[in-house]
Amino acid sequence: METKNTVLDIENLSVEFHVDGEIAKSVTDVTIKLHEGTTLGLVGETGAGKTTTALAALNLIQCPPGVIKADKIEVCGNDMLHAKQHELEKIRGKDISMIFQDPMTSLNPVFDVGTQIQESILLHEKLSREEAWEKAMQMLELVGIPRERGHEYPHQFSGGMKQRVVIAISLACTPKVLIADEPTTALDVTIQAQVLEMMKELRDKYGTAMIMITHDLGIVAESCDYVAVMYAGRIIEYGTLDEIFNNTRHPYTEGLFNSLPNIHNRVGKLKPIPGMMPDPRSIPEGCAFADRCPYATDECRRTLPETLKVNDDHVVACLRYNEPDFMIERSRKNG
Amino acid sequence: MGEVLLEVKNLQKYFSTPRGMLHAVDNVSFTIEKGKTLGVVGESGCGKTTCGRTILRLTEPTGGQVLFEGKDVSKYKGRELAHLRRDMQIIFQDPFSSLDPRMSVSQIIAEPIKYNKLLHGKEAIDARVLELMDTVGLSRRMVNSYPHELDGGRRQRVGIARALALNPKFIVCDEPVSALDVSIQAQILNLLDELQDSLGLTYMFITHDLAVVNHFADDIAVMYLGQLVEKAPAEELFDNPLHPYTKALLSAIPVPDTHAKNKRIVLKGEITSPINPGEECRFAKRCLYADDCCKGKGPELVEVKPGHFVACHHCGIANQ
Amino acid sequence: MAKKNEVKSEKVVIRSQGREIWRRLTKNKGAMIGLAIIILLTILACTVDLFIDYDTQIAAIDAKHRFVDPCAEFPFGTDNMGRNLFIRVIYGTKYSLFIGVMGTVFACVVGITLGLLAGYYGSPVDDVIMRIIDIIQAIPAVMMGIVIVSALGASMTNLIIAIGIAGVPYLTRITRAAVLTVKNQEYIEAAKAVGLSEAAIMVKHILPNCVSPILVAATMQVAQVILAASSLSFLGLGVPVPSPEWGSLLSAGRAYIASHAYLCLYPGIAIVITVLAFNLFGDGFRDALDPKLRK
Repeated sequence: METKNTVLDIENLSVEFHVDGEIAKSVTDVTIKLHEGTTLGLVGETGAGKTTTALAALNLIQCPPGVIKADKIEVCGNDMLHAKQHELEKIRGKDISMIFQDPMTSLNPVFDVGTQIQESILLHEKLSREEAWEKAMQMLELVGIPRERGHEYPHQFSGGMKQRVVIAISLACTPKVLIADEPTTALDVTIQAQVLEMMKELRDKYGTAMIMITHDLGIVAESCDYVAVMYAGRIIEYGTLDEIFNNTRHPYTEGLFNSLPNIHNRVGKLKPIPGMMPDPRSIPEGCAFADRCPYATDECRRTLPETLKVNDDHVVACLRYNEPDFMIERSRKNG
Repeated sequence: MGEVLLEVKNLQKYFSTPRGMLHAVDNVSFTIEKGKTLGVVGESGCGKTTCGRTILRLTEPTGGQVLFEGKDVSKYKGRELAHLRRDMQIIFQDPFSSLDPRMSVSQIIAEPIKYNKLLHGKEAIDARVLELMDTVGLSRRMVNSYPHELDGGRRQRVGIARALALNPKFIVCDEPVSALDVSIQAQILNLLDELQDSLGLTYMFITHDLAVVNHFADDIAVMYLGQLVEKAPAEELFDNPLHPYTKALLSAIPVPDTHAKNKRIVLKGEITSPINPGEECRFAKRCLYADDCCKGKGPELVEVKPGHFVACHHCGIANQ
Repeated sequence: MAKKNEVKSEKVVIRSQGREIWRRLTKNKGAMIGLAIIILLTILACTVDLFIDYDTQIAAIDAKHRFVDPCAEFPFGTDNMGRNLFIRVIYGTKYSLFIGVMGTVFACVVGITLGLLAGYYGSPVDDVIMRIIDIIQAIPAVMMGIVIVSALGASMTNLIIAIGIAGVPYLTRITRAAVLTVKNQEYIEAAKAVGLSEAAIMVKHILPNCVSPILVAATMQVAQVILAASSLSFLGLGVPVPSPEWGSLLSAGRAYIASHAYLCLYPGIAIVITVLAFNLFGDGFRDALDPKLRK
């Protein structure tokens, strides 16, 4: 890895939700380091804890019922864990920003889109209203919307256009870190292509570091430099894009690849992962994936796997790699 | 050529809106052979869902014919319609809203049986419910569960069991996996595949995700703003897409492979409004190849190769 | 298939819905208390004529015992004509419970039906029904009651109709709003696809999913109806004057509230207990019907 500025630093983050006397462990021991200009893909199924991790990075989790524990959550050197409310408000939007999945609900229907971008600029930068409006219009053009449409209201835009507006708002103050939570899931494929393309351009232009939360490995392959695979609240495999895709180690990651319909291979039958993710209220004591894992041994059900180093760019949390010859099928094929 | 189960001729469905007529489905024609799957692909608002519902008579068609086993079902009423409902079923996209939250799994699956009086007596019905649950791979102990207690995959299995309860011949699958996680998605796709083999079902598989139908469909029809723009056997369509929209759609799918050299066609331009669309090709405003010819009369669906139909001025007969 | 591993030849019992709801209802303490009070009041209402003699104990005036404060002989005291308030309140159950329940039932039957039709079919059925509802709502309830009772004659049935109609607009609106949110759900379409008729869809799928707001509205309605009956009785259009219907006891006692507050207190308590019982039962019933709340 190159030595770049670390813009997001999360160490041993755990998030629990205490509801009705039960404890749901949403995120456990997650460590993420993000450098300037890089994109991390956070992959996993519904309920794996991806969004909770992101919200914790912004310190946006409702406490109670949430309980956040972490050694460190830093955004551009700002301690998010112990910051006061007004400090947090300054950091959010300026240093770190988030795009939510549904563009339909993230915009206020009673203000025109230009005003909404202008507002977020005024909040963080000392500009006059005119200057802020001018900057808002530049942002609109940047995301590919003609400035004449700045006076239009959200309902006059299509889904893809709305998501562009949301991105324009998030990027208006050129944050160092942008967390995109399934930014294109609600969009059509051809529109998704446009939005992804645009996000890539913006990242290159501003050097923004991004966390791309998605369940679509295709999007990861196209837009990310690093990949973290989450399962039942833990990161079970972490590494560079190339390592994760071409040197897959964890059985769950392999399962994800096998369940994907591939447009270049019509004949192969899909191999789904059997069963489903454990309930966050009753995560088994051993490896959480053991019950669905074709390689699991009794040992896996008892012992929590530690994170093992595959090489400098790749870690995996699987017990079987303690055995010298163990290798999952996908790696055998690729290797 | 196998036996044709369903034939759709010039199907039309318009909705009247305050701003004019919305052409949701416009002159769509296709046939599905018995035991085969037709994949209908398109983006939101292209009319694929409306098309499926119009065939099932969940909404009334504005015009055109739907021939099921040779008989025009678009005029069926009363008892005939009730009988038709036994032969044609639907699996819905959203497993959250397609199950009545007030009914237990057994009630949901039993309802079509009871209502159509297929079986009589509690014991016979209960036995059938359990049999159906086995068929779709639902554990029997969930029989008294309510939808909110199940996860998405299991809910979708309940929806499938309900559709199978009437022993249908034809099922419209309306995006049955798009609301599910990938690993669950594959489970459901495999289940549908197995059911097709064992029960001899015919599917119309509606989806926005070309990668999903790739594994599944024998033929694929691509819709754009209410019209069929291309229809071909699946292999042919993937290997040799002709319509510019199909090409863009194919290239837009993100491929989970770091080596893929994906030359993406990014579409630009405004989407034509489906309300009172003009005569011209509806894709022309976003098309890379559009010229004056496209602004005239819209292209007809033409057979360019055996089984491969395309509606485009530039890749139809002129191309040959 | 992986999931098929789960399927073993287990013995399973399919529970019927009615029994399931009853089971959940019996677990709800509030609902059971409410139900017990309702049953008690109903028994009381049906049997008062067996142990209370109308002519001597209700209608007779006793000038010697006017305004006796509550004591052992007259637990609730006596009124301005020396009548035993305790007996009058007990006897009043017969009228008030009947009027309260039947008035609400009438409002519910008419209101829910109209709301269902208006919500499900939409324009133009909706427009016609809702305009009629607007007109009913524009007329003051008491005036409407006076008109109906004077037109049809003063009787218990006409009183119930008159009071019931006043509650119709509220229930229609509540039902219609609930139907509108439910009718576009996919399970309605799914029911259509398996061949259910529109009537069956409305009764089996739409109504059960609208039941929460309707039940709340209906239980509130019971109190409204009992009080509305009193204003008509006050005008001489309801239950004939000496009959101790709770509402009229309350309005008769109002004149003496400064000096003899108990005249209002006890009939008031009777109304409160009845309304509370219906509320408790209504809430419990609503929860029992909702599978999401089952444990």
